[in-house]
Amino acid sequence: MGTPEISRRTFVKLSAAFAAGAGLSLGLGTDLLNLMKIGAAEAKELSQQLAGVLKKYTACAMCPAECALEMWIKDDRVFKIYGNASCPFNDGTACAKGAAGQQLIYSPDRLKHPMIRVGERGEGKFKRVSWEEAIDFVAQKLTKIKSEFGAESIIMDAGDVTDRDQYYRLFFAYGSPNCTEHGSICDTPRRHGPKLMLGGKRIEPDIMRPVLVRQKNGSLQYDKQYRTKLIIFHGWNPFVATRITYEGRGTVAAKVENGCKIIVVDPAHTNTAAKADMWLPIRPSTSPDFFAAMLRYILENDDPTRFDRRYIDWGFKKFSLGWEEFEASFKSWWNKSDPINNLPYFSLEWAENRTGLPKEQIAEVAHLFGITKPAALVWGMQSPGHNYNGYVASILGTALNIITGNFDVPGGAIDTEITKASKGGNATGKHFKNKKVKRTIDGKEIEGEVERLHMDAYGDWPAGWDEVVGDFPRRFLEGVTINYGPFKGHKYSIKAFFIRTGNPIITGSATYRWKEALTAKEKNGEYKVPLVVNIDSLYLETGMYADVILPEASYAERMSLSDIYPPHALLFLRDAVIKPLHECKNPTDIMNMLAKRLADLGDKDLKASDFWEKYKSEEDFVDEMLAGSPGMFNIGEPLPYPNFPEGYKITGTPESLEAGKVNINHEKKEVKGELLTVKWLRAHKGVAVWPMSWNRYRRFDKEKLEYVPNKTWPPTGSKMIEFSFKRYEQYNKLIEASGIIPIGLKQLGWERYPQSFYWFETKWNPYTNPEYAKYAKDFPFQIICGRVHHAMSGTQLVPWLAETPAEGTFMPMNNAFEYEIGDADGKGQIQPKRNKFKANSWCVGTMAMNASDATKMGVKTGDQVMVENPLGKKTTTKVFVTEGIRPGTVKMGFGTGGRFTPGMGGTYAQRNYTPNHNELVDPDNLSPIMGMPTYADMIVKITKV
Amino acid sequence: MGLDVVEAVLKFRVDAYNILRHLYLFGPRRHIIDELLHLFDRIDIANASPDLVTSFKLLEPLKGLESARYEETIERLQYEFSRLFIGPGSPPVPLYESRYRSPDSLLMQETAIAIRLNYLSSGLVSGGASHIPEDHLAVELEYVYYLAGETLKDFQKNDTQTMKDNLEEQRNFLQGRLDWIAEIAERVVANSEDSIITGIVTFTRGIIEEDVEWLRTYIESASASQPAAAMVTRSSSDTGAQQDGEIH
Repeated sequence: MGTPEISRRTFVKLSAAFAAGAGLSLGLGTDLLNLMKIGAAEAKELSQQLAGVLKKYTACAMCPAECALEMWIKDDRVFKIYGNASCPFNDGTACAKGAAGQQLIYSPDRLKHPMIRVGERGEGKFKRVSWEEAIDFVAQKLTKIKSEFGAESIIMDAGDVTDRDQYYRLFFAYGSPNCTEHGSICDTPRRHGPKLMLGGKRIEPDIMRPVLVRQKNGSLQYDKQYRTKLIIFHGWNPFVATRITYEGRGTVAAKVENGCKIIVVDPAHTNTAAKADMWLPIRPSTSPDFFAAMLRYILENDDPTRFDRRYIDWGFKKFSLGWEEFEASFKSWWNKSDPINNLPYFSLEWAENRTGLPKEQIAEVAHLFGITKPAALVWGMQSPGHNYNGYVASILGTALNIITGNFDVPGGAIDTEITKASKGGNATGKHFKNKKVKRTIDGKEIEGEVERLHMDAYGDWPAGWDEVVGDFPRRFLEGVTINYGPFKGHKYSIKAFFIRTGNPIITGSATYRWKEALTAKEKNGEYKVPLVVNIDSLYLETGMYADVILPEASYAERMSLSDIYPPHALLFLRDAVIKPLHECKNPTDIMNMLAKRLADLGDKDLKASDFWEKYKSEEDFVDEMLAGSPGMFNIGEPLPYPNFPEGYKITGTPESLEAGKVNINHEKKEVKGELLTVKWLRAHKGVAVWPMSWNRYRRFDKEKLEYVPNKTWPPTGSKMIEFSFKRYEQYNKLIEASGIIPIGLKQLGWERYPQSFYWFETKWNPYTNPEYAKYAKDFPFQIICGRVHHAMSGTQLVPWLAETPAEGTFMPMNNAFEYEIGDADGKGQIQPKRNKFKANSWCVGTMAMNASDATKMGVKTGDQVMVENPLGKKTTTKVFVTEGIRPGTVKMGFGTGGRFTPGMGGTYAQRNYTPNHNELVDPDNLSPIMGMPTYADMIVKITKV
Repeated sequence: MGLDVVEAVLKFRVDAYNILRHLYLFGPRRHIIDELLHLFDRIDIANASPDLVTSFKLLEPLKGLESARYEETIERLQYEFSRLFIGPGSPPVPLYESRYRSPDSLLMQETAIAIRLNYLSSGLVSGGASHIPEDHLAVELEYVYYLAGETLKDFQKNDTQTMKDNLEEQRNFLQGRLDWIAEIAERVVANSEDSIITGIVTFTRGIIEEDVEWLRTYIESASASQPAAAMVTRSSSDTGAQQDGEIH
């Protein structure tokens, strides 16, 4: 028996002691940590399965459109992404962003582990910690903050993608009413008119096809017919920048199949304008002016006796309240003279002067809109959504759709907020806000519901509905004073900011103000906001200012429901198609971990029965979200369910409703089928579709033999269309009880929210507001901004998309740079190497400028310029010279430049010469009704660098 | 020299890979660094490879630090470790093999899938508390740790055939997979001035390279001396072969 000869290669020192006792005696654990032993048979089976492909159905989150996807999974890895053909929302399509999802899911730049800051905020210095350490760190701080300052001192901002309900639930239960999401600082003025008048938010053209429709023979069939004949996209660019993705393909289909005409009103010649029959390059920040002129023209020229002047469908009056007052208020301006041009308000001449468009064109658009039916007028996120006076435009736009008979008719204008399926239900935890709490104010103990502590709704912005919390950075610096309700006089500071999947430092108000707020310190050297927690899959700029980073599962690794805007009830699942990578956790697990740790530390508001015992898995949580779905009413034509009573609320799976497996409660007017569940959705390719109907505000009265309001829908207070702004009444009551005029109303010189049509000017527009006329000479450019198709943070860092140009504001105009990628080495092997990207091969944020302006300035494409606003704030950018923008206007993309986080991959390399539009936003110019930053109101001067 | 020498080396391997997998999974925590320093006591530095000598020189000063200074150094190391290997953002030295071998520099690509077959061949799947991709350095080291442990058991059970298979799998895996440790070490040198981190990765590279060579020599020697069946056979007489001092 021999012994192998090993003496030549033994590096181990072997004393007797070492030889005898060494080995396996370490203080470290010996169990496997990442690998797990399985049986031989199972291992063999798994080895064989490695060749198999699974198709799983889920929803995208590469942008907020959240299209339904079919992901091909091989070896527990996503390797192909297609649209889900079973879902009519995107009807099997997937855009470049959706198809590039693997590059985000498997990005090496993702957040992977919990981390705690070790440097100063903004330095980006963190150390890795365990989940237990991170959760304990956060829970200890939250416990202290709640004890010393009250739970309301916490803001939970759930950011720009969905799947936020778990975080809302956690913090509502904790005791803070201040939970919000990106929508609050996105486009609230755009949504204001539909909310006031319809109880909705988003008016879109009826061009999602197919739609499931009840047939006369009782069957359900997909209707593929496009009926729309005219769409006016005003500051709306659905081909690149909307979550309503069906509008891109629907617009083309309506043109081709129905001869639909498209009018685009936009300072920039967008991709949508490229498909239009008419492009009107309007002066920025004049949307209300354009709509007001349209309405005046229609009212002045409507003639029911002439087929070519029959603009108004007066039938709308039967289904609405307050038109006479609205009309009178609107007309009261007609005889007033505008100080900026001495012309009567809303006249064509007035509008020509202010919008910079020929009055004949304005008249033509108004005429076409009045005479063409069905039609839809749609307005956009940037303008008027980001104007100080965008509310006026959205009110006028809503009115125009209603009076011309286009609201909720086939091919017309649908408010998709109030037609989509409801979801969330009790899972969101809003009921926790009803809990009574006590606060001592001026020595008196006051009791009231948690929701009455809301920093905006009971603070400075009583009309900040839908959990709008827009006045962020100022709150961090100045604190909150409650002005309304039982807690009037209560003051509190913001002591913790949770930001999840959002990046307000780049996209919310001015970047410099955010930095100031998050780094401001007390005299004792502590940060004014002592806890900032970032929950995300990506490492964005706001994360650099966090104390704790909690890595969240990517959209392919977590479960929820898509948050979409179809014209009828439709839901689809975001399924966890692969396991969370790295140490990432899904929102349900994060919620439960934090809730449990808080409870362990003595917080009695966090109960096992509300969290970790109630939701043992994501599926438990999503099942509860689905319990009330679709929550639609059995209304409209054709009636979705003719076998059930008209007007009743419908819940249950499409299958059970169709089979009549329901319980009908006549007292509550409810029809309940079998509960929709994750299991049901998975068995149906992730999608549930219920029938579409139109004219959902009316019913046919068989006795009167005419249509009458059904008093069920739209979901306003009166269940009628409201031209009288009854929604404002509740806020006026608060003002009356308190005696405090909200700061926004004070700016307007108002004491109450108006009951009908109102008008006020925007800010930072020298051409419409006399207060700013003095800036016109020195700051000759108006700056606009728009979302670029794939220039969101999560898509900019995807190399496939970074090399795809978009609309002049995201162009291959980079300086030469090096960035590491894998590349072939010539021997068939892929090796990592620092790849040298040539100049003009990688898309970067740019600024589009009209060719005539560029010529005057001696600037050409690629030249670097400095852009400065009257506040002295600057950003630098390369210029993209184009004929496709109105002279005197420049345009940048949102969040496309100045990206200073290393988490942005190759885009980080471009940070020093690309523009950050938000550096130019006036952080003190908040829109006066709801307090949102007014990104679209600014003027600049430009100098060549 | 006898079979106890072999057993000692096999035990050393188990301990070394156990420390390394913990180190790259959890970062430079104090108790892990302590164990790493203890491990040097068992290395014949005078006859070790240049990498092991270098790492010894870089890490040895830690031993002399008084407690507070040691804690401070560990805290600094944790940050530097995060900056280099974890992020957030784009760390200069990512610890995923796919990052270095895939065309798109993405994670979870063919490399990670191929490694699954290695793991499955030993009856293992990814199944820890987290779902770190299988081609993370810590997971690959854990795989070697597992096989090293199994080899030790085989040795102690005289199961020579299984031991042979295990050793060959380890040699192939270390040579064909974990060779990217060289890239890691070079990147750390290029991206960090921290002598301790440099010492850690140099040590990792040194151990793997020494181990590959030891495995090669041992397998060849065993095959030559035991062409029939058993690579290693223990008998009571061998236990007396243990000797003081170093083995050459």
